Amino acid sequence: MNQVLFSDKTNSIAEKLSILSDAAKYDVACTSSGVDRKGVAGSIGNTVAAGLCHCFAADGRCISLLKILFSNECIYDCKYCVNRSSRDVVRTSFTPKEVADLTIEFYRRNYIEGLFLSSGVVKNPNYTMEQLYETLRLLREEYHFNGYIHVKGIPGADDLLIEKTGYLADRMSINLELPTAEGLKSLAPNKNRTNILRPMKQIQLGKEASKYRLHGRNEIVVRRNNTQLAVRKQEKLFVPAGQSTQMIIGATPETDYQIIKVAESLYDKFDLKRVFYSAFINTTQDSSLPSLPGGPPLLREHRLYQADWLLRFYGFEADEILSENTPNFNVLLDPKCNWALSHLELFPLEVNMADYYALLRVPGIGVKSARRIVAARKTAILDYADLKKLGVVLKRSIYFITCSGKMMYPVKIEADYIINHMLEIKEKLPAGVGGSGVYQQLSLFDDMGSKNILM
Amino acid sequence: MKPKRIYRCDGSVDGIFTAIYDAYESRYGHADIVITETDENTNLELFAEYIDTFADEEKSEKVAASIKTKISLDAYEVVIKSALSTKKGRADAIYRFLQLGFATGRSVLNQLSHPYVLPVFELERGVNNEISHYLQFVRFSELKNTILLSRVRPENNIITLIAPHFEDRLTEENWMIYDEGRNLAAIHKSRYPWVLVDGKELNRSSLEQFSDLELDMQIFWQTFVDTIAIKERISEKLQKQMLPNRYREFMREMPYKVK
Ligand code: SF4
Repeated sequence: MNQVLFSDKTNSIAEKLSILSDAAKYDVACTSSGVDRKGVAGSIGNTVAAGLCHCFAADGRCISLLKILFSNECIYDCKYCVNRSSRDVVRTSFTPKEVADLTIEFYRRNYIEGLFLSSGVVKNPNYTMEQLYETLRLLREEYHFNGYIHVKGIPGADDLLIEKTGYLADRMSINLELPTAEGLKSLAPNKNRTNILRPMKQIQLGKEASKYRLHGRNEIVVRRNNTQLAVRKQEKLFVPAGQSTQMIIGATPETDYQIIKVAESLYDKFDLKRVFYSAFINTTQDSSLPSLPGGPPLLREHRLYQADWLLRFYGFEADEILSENTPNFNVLLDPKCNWALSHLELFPLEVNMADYYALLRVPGIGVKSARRIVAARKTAILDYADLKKLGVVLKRSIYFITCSGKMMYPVKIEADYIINHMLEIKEKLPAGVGGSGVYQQLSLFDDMGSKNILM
Repeated sequence: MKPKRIYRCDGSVDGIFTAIYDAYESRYGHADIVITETDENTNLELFAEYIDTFADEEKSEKVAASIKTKISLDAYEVVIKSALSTKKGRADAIYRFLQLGFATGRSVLNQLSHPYVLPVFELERGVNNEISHYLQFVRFSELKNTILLSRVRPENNIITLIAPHFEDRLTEENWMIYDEGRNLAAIHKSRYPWVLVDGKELNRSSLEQFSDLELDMQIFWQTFVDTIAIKERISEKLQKQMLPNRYREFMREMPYKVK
């Protein structure tokens, strides 16, 4: 298969690959999660709902997808972006076939779960979107690639193009870039909020209603009200893994509270699967950008992911986590712990009785251990030794729980006392964020389980 | 006092199941029986009676069938994975689990913290962990004859547990996953079910010639892995935590320390 394709062009492909992956790396999303799809005879690939990481780069981040730009040419001049038009860098573009060939060859070797294709805006949004579409079409229809594809929607491209591409992709994302419209205006003068939110809405609607189905190559017809199995089987799914977005954190002056409010409304109103937070890295040294002598704000990014988890899996609302009056995260305590300490009146909880969502709010108890508790207490009355076996981190939870009415040690339920003890137990922060200890990589949280976060 | 009886088996799935079968048949009493894998009998116990058992497919099948019907398919999966672990004491852990399982039925899996249940869960967790890492980190190289070859050296005996994933994924390809340590290979011919083959039957020399494209691809992949890292966030420590040395032996893109 494609044997002669690369041999005489090895150097040029390697060079393009290095330029176009280098330019893509600041996009933090690299997960392959959200769809379970079996292999099909005559095609190559399947997908695993939990996602898989195939390698870890020198920064410890997961490599799941071939994450590249189609082109690093761009007509726009966003101030934070390495590809901004005013920058003097080598520009290059792939062809759809080159991207498709690389994807297949990497996939066969189990290097990747699939492709994450983004691009600078070449010529105009429609031209760019067409190239992305053509790449996906090649992969899906000619190479019968059945693995994971995440594609960027280019703001400003035609609805129809976005729609067509959505039927070939597993996930589509449009980056919010900056948390607020003002932020966007100051740093990305060629973009506007509406242009970003409109296709987001379109993807959401397309996914929700599945109003259209692709008919032939180019037209989209309204789906007839037909629920027969055979017909449904032929229908292609529209972005089955949903859409995600990314915000740059720390380039503009928003508070943490503002940011998680934005995330919350994206989850609620746009039905996003994931919001990613990317600690700002100053690559362009533009005068309107903050200089970051301490390096990118990694702890802040980490706290945002923790809060994001509370929103998505722990039943929290943004207003419970932060407020106008305390708009920023506690540097020393994770947001769940912080919440528990300001709600001591709700504790201690009796582990053998408390409902699942109440258990989830106890520091030291995560999604897995809460589930295990609920299962195990059906057949036994749990004591502290059992909790330990079920994965509860006792040294964090003892202030907040009882087993059969008894606390593990006589402890005071008093904020200062608990804070002092909590701070003695080192929080397990990601390596590189200034702490030591085991760490589940951020972009992996919903892919690989959540051993250590928010316990 | 009744002397303790120690059933010795070879530690394979069939071996463990056969020993369990024999232990039940003897009606000697579970409390006085221990099952061990032969490789762990370093210090013989003075007052114990040793019985050597020999893997017997028929007996093994019977035990397997009882687990599936009297407990559940989930329990069977837990047991098989525990048996494919390399941890010492797995045979006895499975034996105890089955005692409780045959008595209580499918609900046995809910008794997570029971001393007869927890050990098999721990064995299973260890094996599952390794399986998920192998699904991530297995690498195929393309040979001259277009076969995709993956060399592995897993701690537990897991190639039969990872082969189904690749059969589904690479259904049109011819591929082979070769366990260097055990000299076993899972072989898949395009569109056929995969099979387990003894390494003795392989032609080693044909496994060493890469296709013309292979080297290019390795270079491209290396290029990609190197450039995708953000230099402001470099953390060798984090990288090591996520991708420990033991998985790197056959990952050409990663630095690997030979032990
Ligand atoms: S449009 Fe995208 S690629 Fe172009 S400068 Fe802005 S952020 Fe960069």
